[in-house]
Amino acid sequence: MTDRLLEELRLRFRETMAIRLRDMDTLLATLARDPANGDALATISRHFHAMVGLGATYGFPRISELGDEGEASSLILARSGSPVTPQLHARWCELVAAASGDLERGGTST
Amino acid sequence: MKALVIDDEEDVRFVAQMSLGRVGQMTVVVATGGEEGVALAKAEQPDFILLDMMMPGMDGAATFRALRADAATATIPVVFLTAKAMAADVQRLIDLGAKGVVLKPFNPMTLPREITAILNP
Repeated sequence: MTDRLLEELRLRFRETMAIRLRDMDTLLATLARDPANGDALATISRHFHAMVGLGATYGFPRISELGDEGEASSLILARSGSPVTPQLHARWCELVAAASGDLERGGTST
Repeated sequence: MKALVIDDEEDVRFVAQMSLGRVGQMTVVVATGGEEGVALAKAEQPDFILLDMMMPGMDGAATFRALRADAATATIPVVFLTAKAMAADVQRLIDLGAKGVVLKPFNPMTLPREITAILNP
């Protein structure tokens, strides 16, 4: 039952995280056009936060690590009220791309 | 044993429900936010509440205070579910009467055991 449950959870996570990552791509495109867009910043920060909590829970620890870096930098930015810098935007694109890659590879069992 | 899970993230509710229900053999009810959670706690009288700390609107701390302020829910044990970064904030709530904290990410295979240990130290 344990293996079956874990596989069910991982399958579901791959579907829902793929949707989340696509939304993050859209938000990153918005932030590229409008680096001071507070709504987009808040939403992408929530997505990074969700990656932290969900990744390792579902057997994708690398996604938790990637989310941790994204959440920390997005929270600092939100507190400062500054727009997203090109460097930070590029890094977030890398984090999302890395998470997509890990999701496609199936992550690593914990 | 009946559990009430309050979390705005659907994926967290799902994995908690599967873990507590299928691994822990508990009856699980879920709420998507603080206000719904308080109402369900009154109606369902769960044996414990697993409560997310960071939620939009009525967050975990406000939900905890609302549960404690109502005689119908004041004594239901509350276990917070939170990211590591917010654990220090939760310690203040433990000082006010919360039973404990489960850190996210958590292991769905051991979550029921972890909660049982918190509820029965």
